[in-house]
Amino acid sequence: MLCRIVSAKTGSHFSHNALSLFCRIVSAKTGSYFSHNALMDELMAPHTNTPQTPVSGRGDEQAFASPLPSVARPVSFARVARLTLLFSTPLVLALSALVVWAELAIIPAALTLVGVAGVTALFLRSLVGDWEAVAAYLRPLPVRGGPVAPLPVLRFSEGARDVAMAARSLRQRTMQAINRAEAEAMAQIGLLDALPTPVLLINSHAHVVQANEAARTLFGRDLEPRPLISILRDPGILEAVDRILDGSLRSKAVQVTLGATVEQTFQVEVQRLTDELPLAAHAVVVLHDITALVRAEQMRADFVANASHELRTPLTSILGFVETLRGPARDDAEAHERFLAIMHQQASRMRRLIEDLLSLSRIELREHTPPVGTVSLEDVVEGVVMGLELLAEEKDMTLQVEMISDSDLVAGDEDELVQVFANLIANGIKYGRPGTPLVIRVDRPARGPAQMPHAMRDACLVVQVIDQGDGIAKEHLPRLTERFYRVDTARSRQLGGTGLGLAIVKHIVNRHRGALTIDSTVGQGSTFSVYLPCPPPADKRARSSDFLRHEPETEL
Amino acid sequence: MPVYTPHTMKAFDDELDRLNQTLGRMGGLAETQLGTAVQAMLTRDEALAAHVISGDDQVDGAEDHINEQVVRLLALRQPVADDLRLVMSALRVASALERIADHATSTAHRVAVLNQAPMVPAVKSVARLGWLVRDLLKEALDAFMSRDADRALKVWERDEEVDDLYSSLFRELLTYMMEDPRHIAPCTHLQFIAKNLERVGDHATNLAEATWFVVHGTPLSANRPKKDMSSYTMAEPRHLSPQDQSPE
Repeated sequence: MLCRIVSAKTGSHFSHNALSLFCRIVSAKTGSYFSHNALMDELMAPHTNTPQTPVSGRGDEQAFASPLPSVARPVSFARVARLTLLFSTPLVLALSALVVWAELAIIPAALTLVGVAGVTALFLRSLVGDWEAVAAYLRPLPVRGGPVAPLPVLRFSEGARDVAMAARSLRQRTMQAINRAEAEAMAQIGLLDALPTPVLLINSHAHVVQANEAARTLFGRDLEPRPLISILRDPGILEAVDRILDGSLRSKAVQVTLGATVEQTFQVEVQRLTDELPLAAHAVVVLHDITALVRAEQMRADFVANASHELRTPLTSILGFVETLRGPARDDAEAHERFLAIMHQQASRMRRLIEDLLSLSRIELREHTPPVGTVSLEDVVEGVVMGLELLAEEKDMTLQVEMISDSDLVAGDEDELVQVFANLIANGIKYGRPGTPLVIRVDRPARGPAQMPHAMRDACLVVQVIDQGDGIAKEHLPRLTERFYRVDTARSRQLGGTGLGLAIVKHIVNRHRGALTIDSTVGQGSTFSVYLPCPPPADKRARSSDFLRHEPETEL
Repeated sequence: MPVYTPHTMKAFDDELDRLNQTLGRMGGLAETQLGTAVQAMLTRDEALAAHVISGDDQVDGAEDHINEQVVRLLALRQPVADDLRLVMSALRVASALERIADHATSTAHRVAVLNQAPMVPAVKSVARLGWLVRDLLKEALDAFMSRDADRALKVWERDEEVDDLYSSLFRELLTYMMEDPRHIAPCTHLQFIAKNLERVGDHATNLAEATWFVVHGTPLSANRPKKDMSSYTMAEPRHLSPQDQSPE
């Protein structure tokens, strides 16, 4: 109240410090805190970081504490007393000297001493209060970020303020240095994202601490804070992880199959990390996708099984007949005739199969190198048709060749193209209905189909073999070019097929960078279309025109 | 001032995490047992079937372990709200997984018997049912481990697929048995295997319900769609028309 009157009367803005200091002295001397309270509330910002508990552990510091803890700080009495003693020493010496020299009486000297010491103590209390506030503020200051309390209001000691500011800036610099180091470490882990293989970093509790991009794509969700068990449950992997994390193994590899509807096989390697990476990573789990390898191996095994089966069946039959001829039917001339005919037929079938297998493997070896040379489709087709006319006549079918396109030149290898058309036309005759025509049309389409390499699509020719047979059901169409795939096994064998014809056609067409498409309607017939790219205009190689010397390779 | 200190909370978290880990491992074991058993049936591999049979002990051990952990958690930590739901559901999940592994083992037991007869084409259809329930189980476990109620709901709705497939399989096996009496023995064993697999599907649905309960605190609707018509399926042998049957 008194202070408010004073300030109102003067009308000027006293310095904050002087006024509050004055009020402190008033309150300390009178023991009343009313004026103190009112003025403090009006003039001072609220103390938010004043420590509730005494900062020094010595016991008797409450003596100088103000009754309102939020406004004034409890200060260590012992410290203030010590400092007062220190600063009073010159005065003590001076007064003692004066007393000794009898310039001054003892009582006034003592009173002076007490008065001056008291005032000094009050000033010192404020200073010590500030120093202790700074210490209390700095002690719990977090180094790496987190909420930071605002600076305590330090009204008296400039030294305390300097120390507080210096500490703050030191903290900033430390934080920056730590952040920089962390960023570098994280950048190194970020390299993982560039890898196409899924990688997981796990800590000693088997929780995922870091997963790269590929892993997130594979498992389809956020992986970081999760335990490994919620992502991978395979007992083999879990056992490997256990043994790595408890230190009994350095690394282990397990082959597992993951995924339900789409099965993928992985070679999972778990390895212990010797230097602990940041984020407390203890081990790394790498998943190599070996689905393609496993599938290829399966296909190879299937193929060997199929080929062996195809060869074994006629062989068994031949052996059976041989035994019969050597035994029961030794003297039976009619049996000789019949059996030898059958044996010949079976042996020819085996030879055809082996020839086809060799042909297929030869073609696959060369599949990567596109052919050089130009071929006249007209010549090739006419030649094949001539060779198969007899077969067609037997079934009362006619072979009609339609050349719609003006040019008939394609880039290709003559022998191989002969194989292709011989296969397709022979199939057309075998599966066509008797009495119907088999049409072979050579045309220039506007654009090649999507299966062709993009660059070849614009300039190509198509050869279509159109039959009017029973047609092929839609579910078989994608698998027709698979080796040994038959829609009707019995019929195919009876017609002398090896099961490899369309596979050979497909690989040759692939080598020529063309495409094979199959369209069929059940009950009406099928169309097999072979698209072949035209030779590039700069390529004016001579046509291989000695086609007529070669016979179609596939026997009927 | 709160009663607990941070240290106790962390221990509780650790114990929950350990429960989670054990459940995950048990789930992985059950999945593998099921897949291996179906594979053994399909490829007529008796060694693989023996492997499945010997692995059943591990699953039973895991269930005991989970029961122990649950009792400890309830007694010492007295969890509330979703922690309590999780701990209670752990019991249901463990019991369901143990039953699933038992079904897988009984399937494996029948492999040796089936091998004594020539392969019936229906084995492929039974295997298809097997892969379907294995997928469902995997989905249900994924949903539980990641506490994803939406995925669990999808699994719950797919129980119809299993019932449909099982009903048609039941009919198919009946026709095989009627065609040729030599098929009766293997087809009967296949019927039991198919029933086992259908029960696995039901357990997977239970898992989905448990997941939903853990996440939302309410049970999934009481009416699980039931399309299993096998109880209503009858088959008449074709060569016995009504007039040929004796009056008895």
